[in-house]
Amino acid sequence: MTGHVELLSAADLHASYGTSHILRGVTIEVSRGETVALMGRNGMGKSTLIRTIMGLVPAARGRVTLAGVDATRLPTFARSQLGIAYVPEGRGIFGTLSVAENLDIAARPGPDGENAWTINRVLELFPRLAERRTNRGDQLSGGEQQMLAIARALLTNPRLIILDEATEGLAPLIREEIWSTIRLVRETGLAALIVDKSVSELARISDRVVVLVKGEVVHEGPPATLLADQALMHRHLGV
Amino acid sequence: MSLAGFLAQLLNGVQYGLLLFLIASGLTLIFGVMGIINLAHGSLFMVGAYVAFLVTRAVGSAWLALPLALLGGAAFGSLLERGLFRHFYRRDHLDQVLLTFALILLFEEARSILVGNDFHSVAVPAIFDFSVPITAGFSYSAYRFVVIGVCLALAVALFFWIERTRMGAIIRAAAEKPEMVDVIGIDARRVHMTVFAVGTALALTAGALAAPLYSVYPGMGDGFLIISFVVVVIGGLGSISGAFWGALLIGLVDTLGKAYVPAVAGLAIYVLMAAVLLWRPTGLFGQRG
Repeated sequence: MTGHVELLSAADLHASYGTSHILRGVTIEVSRGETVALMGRNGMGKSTLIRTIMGLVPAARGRVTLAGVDATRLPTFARSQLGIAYVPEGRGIFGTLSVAENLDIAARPGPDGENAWTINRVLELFPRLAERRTNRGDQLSGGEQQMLAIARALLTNPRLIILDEATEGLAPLIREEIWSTIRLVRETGLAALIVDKSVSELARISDRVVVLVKGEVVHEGPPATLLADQALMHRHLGV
Repeated sequence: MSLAGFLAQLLNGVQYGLLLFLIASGLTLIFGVMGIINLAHGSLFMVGAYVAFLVTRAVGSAWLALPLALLGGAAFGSLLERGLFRHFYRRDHLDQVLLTFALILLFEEARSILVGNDFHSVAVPAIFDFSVPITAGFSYSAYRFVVIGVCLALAVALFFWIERTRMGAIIRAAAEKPEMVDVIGIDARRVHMTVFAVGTALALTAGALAAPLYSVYPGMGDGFLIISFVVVVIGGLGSISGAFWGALLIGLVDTLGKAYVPAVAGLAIYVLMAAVLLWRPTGLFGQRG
């Protein structure tokens, strides 16, 4: 693994919700500038893995290292401050705050003091948000809310962005807009860990795919290998 | 009753309502952000009143009690949050009730040991101990005007802070989606401590302002706490605007009721609460759904 600088490294992660054991020893890594797709059917533990990485679900066993720091026991805000931005499923925007306030409270320099993403720059990336600055978050359409969620994550000037179902429930045109934004952001060198239903889009954008089945990693490798393996695709992804 | 008498009752109602707002706003803010119903909030009001009493006894005027209640209240609130409340946010509601109920007993016991169980009147600060002539036959207590002015100034400051500042936006965000505040890298513990400090400071200030009007006595926080709950419920849980209009409404209904229909006045605010809840189950300014 020479030459790789690991931003995110989870080793042998176990986590449970109540009595159900969701993660069963997951090991996953994301290096600087790398885009990793996390795949698997519903209920296989993708969201739980991400929430455990963010410290929103306690790890029963295992270790989370973020930007070289052992984050296993760190609270969520401290993990964010290490440069890990998370756009959750359902977007998690503040509906009672205006668009401007949603952006303003998130904006800060990154962990090394870098300030590449400013409010003006995210508004250039998403001109529709600029038009709706004074609107409340809950007055936005689904697509606009997703843009706001991504914009807000970028404003923390992260090293890695985690996107959980960022295109879910959106019209095809808006979906395409979100994907092209993700490609744009990726070109800036930001590392990404992406969960999405669209295997073809994920394969196109990612450097590596990780497939999760019942809380365990069953496949890992370049997207081409996965796409070529019809049996694997069918068995684990249902496509 | 005369017009002058009615005006006086109207002003009394506004003054009482604004005092209730200082208590209810802290109660509703703490509930809105941390989800805790602080039964000891009335005791904090009592602490403020006794601060005014002790300051008056020591230096002869209650004037100094105001900054002391505001700043001391903020410091005291931070300590309470840090030492006790912080450990109860994720606990069961029953645990929270037991904690805050225990605090009522502790505050009362401390008061009993430190100051005793007697009623004490507190003199109005000398510079405000006069009446302001309004019309030929009607004048109104200068101190009550001061209370109205201080409460209004604090209400405006609170609204500005919550609605127009970054910290206020963070507090509203924390009330809506606490988890996401952490996700964007903000230490929610600091938000909680700030909210608790402000709520406590407002309760103590209300007590210090109230002492010359209502005297100080054991258990004086209980009545104010219950009425403040009525205010919070009418206004809508967690809503500062709701607490403001609810407090004015209750202040006026209670004061005018006692003046004009004393036989049913004790019941009036509860009937009002029931009526508001039938009409709008989440209160006047509550979030629906």
